[in-house]
Amino acid sequence: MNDDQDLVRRALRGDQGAFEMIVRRYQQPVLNYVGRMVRERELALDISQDVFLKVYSGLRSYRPQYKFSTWLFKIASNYMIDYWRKKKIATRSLDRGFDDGEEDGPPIQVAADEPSVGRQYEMRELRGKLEAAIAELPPALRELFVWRHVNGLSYDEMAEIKGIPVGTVKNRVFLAKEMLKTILEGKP
Amino acid sequence: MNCLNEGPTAERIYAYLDGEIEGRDLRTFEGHLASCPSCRRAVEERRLIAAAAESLSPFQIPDEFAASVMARISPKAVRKPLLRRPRAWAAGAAGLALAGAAWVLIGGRSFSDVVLDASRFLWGSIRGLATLAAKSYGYAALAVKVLGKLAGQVLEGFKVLSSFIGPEVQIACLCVALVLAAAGFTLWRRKSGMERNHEES
Repeated sequence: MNDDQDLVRRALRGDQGAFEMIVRRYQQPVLNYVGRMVRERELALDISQDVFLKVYSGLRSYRPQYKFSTWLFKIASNYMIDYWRKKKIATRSLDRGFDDGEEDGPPIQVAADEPSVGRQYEMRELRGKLEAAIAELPPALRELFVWRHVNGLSYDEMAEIKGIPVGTVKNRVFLAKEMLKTILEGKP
Repeated sequence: MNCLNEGPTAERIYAYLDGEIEGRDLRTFEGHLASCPSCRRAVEERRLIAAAAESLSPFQIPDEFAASVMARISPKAVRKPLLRRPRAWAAGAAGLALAGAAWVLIGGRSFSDVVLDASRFLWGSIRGLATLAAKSYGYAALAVKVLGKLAGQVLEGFKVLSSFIGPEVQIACLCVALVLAAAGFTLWRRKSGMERNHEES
């Protein structure tokens, strides 16, 4: 959105109302992301507030040639990495540690007799099961899946945020979806 | 088509769902789906999971969330560049003072020696600056003299030239020079304005 940059300019001139508009515009996407990363409501609210504070204090380093939402999610993602590092959760799995295999991902054959997720659950029930299954994904895959399917980010945007090739992003999202499918099939 | 060996891979199914398969590949893919119930089911299941993910309930946000973020924000929190931060300057000055004090302490010199040295240094600097100013004045006077002579020569040249050129041509030349100068000035203003806007943004 072009007026994001206008709001940033106004916020830099000291217009706090402009920054409040930024917060209101991005609070839902940020909370959708952070909430699904930490799975604790109060913690997600605290972290999201901290993310917006970091965004505010770093406004001068934002370059208008980049999309504001991409820059904001980069800050949120880095915050989550620091958070897990402090919590001593293996950070290796946050950015690396996946065997990405070939650039476009390893081929997975479709088995003819696989159980049908669609037949097992109604849509409403499926959403509930999916929320629980997302929580079981490794953080780095969960992050990319949420960005892609909940926040609606493009593969290019995700690649820019994480600083990795688009092919790697696609491969990891694909891996996340296959893991979710396996988890859902295994759920009673 | 035997799907276990030659049918679409899961990766290809996702490419299809992302709309990345086009043209003849798409027709072949959809042709296979039409004739293969297991692949059709594989596509539908993945489509269903994606649809469920895209329709997950949004995280509930308290009404006061934005207000509580703003309450934690201080207008001074936006970091200014280092050179525009008075605290950074103060910290630098304090650091220098501390370094000086440490040097005095480690060197074991008395305070009066330090003051004496400092006043000598100050006096030496003032004398050096005064000499430099006097020399600069001399050079400036010489430069004015040379430039004056040069201007005189140029004027003389113009006089000689104007004796060969009629008054109409002289006026036309003057007008062209004025237009060129005005255009140059406008371009320079526009360029510096754009640079200023870029810096602000």
